[in-house]
Amino acid sequence: MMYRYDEFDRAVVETRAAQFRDQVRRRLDGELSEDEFKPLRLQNGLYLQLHAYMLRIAIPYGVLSSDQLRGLAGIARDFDRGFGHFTTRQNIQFNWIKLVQAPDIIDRLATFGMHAIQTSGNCIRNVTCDPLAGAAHDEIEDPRIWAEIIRQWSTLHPEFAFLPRKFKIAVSAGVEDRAATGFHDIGLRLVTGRGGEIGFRILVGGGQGRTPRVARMLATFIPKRHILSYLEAVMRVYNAAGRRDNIYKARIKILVDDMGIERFADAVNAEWHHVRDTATDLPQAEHDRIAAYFTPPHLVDASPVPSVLATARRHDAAFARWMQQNGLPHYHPGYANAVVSLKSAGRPPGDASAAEMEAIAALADEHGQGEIRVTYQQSIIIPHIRRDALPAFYRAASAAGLGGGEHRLVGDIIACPGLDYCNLANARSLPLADRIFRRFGDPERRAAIGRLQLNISGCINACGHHHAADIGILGVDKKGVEHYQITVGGRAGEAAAIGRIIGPSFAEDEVPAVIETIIDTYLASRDRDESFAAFIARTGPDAVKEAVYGNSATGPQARRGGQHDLA
Amino acid sequence: MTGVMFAANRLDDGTVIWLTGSLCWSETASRAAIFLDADIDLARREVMAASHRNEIVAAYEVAVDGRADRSMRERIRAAGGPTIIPPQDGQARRQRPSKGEG
Repeated sequence: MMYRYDEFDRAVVETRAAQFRDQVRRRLDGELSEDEFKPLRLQNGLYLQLHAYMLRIAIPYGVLSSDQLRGLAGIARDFDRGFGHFTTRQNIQFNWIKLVQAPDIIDRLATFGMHAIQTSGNCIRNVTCDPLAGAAHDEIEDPRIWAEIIRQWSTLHPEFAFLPRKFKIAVSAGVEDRAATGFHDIGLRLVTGRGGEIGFRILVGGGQGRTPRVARMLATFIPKRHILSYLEAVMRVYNAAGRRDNIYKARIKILVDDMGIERFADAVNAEWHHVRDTATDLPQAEHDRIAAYFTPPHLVDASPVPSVLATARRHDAAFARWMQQNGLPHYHPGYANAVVSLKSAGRPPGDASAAEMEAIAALADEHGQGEIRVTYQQSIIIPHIRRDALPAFYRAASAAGLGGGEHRLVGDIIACPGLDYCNLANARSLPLADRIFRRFGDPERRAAIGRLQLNISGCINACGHHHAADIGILGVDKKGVEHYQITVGGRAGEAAAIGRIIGPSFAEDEVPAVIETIIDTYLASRDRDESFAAFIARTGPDAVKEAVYGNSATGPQARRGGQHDLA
Repeated sequence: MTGVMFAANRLDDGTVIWLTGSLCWSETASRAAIFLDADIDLARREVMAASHRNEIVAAYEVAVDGRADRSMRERIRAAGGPTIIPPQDGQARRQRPSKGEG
């Protein structure tokens, strides 16, 4: 079903755990200064944040077994404050870690095949992937195999351990891009080429942060057998030419900007020509060995329209709403993939308690196949659930407080930890997410609004993906006071786009009403069945700008008028 | 009158701490001293010494005008945790029973 550590993986992780234990000991004994220790702890995912140490643990391409999730619950309970935070890169973070206990945590992780290697630092980070990989109705082939191959290739790769800056790769194989490949340093899309051969479309130079860029097309088709040598060529060009003199100019997107995509592609092709005969291209036998871990799930012949499902939808409006949003299609018509939403009133987006993690693991064991996926939208997906089991699944999820049907609705807010936890943030994200969630507290209203992605970042680093949201909110520091800038029209996936700022920023108290004004403007003006994204694409931001600020978005007078309208 | 407070994290567990008037480190923000004039150098020497003793990390000076910095960042650190307490964070709820979801 999923990749399992072999002897080599185990040896790497155990060696690294022993090294880290010794590094921590030397730091506490004073043999290492903080300047010497910091890069070592970061290479093991350990940050020092606002209140305590934070440990970021890699969840390779967002795939967990139920036993691994139980293991993470144990870490939450034994080493943290009983909960963890699923991140926008399909990882998990623990916010209340003690340095003295960090080696024990790393040891514990190794016992269930997990680690924190390359979750920080200027290296190739955890490869992310379509959370429906291997279970999607629209994919060309299972992208997890390629994500795992890239994971193995990039893990502790000596040439790429000290890149100019961090480097993020996403892989997607669906007709729909569910991995936001357009916002990654490299986005890989599996596509069918001429003659039916499957290969990769390569996007490069995407990213958010202070210089948001949608990735550009680097190659329309690279045969699968050459993907590692091609990636190596891209990395070599970046490693050699990427800027190291200015942290804000060091990402590959800036290099692509400076060179232009044509010159950059020429440089990659020249490097590829140079290395393709000597660089590692995966032998077919090795591909097949890795692919063998990803055996198809055991599916029985199940009805696509079981009567129990139709009955439950008719008699239970909450279930019908949940099913509409959170029941996702599976390649087998008798099965579905179910979203377990980690969004609800009072819950920081992406947070789950130890008990909830264990409940999710039990759901996966009982109704799925013991497998769990973490989404970059900070929720969970349980794949491979028989459609006739969905009512029972929903009842069990609801009993655990996880029955929210928020997937892709306004309540499905992506939010970074913000100033409540993060040393870099200018403003808080989490309380604002909660206020907005509560503002749209009626689930029927959320459903009536329809698909709408609202994302919040607490600073320009954009960990909350505000650039890629229908409505994006960016926290800024305005003379020592938290303010929030609003964008509309951003989008991940197909036709990825960067949201546009609608005008001057707002104080926190004003933001929920401003969001409501924007959404009410959409509801009043949308064509039949027109999504918020389509509405903004049709009208531009002007309609919502005018509703929010009045006729002019530039002057304080107009802005005061706008606020008055919102009161 | 410009005074200075000193904050840091304890090295071994990351806990936020402040320098008190008796040049000790406290987890209680209200015990933080605002150092003035010549005492500022004295306090800086203790910060250096505590760093060298491997007791503290990430020390910094908070400039204040005769009273504590009231920026949101410093208020959150002084409160000992986030302004929205996850429902499952029993420890934080026990510490701050009056503060709920923000």
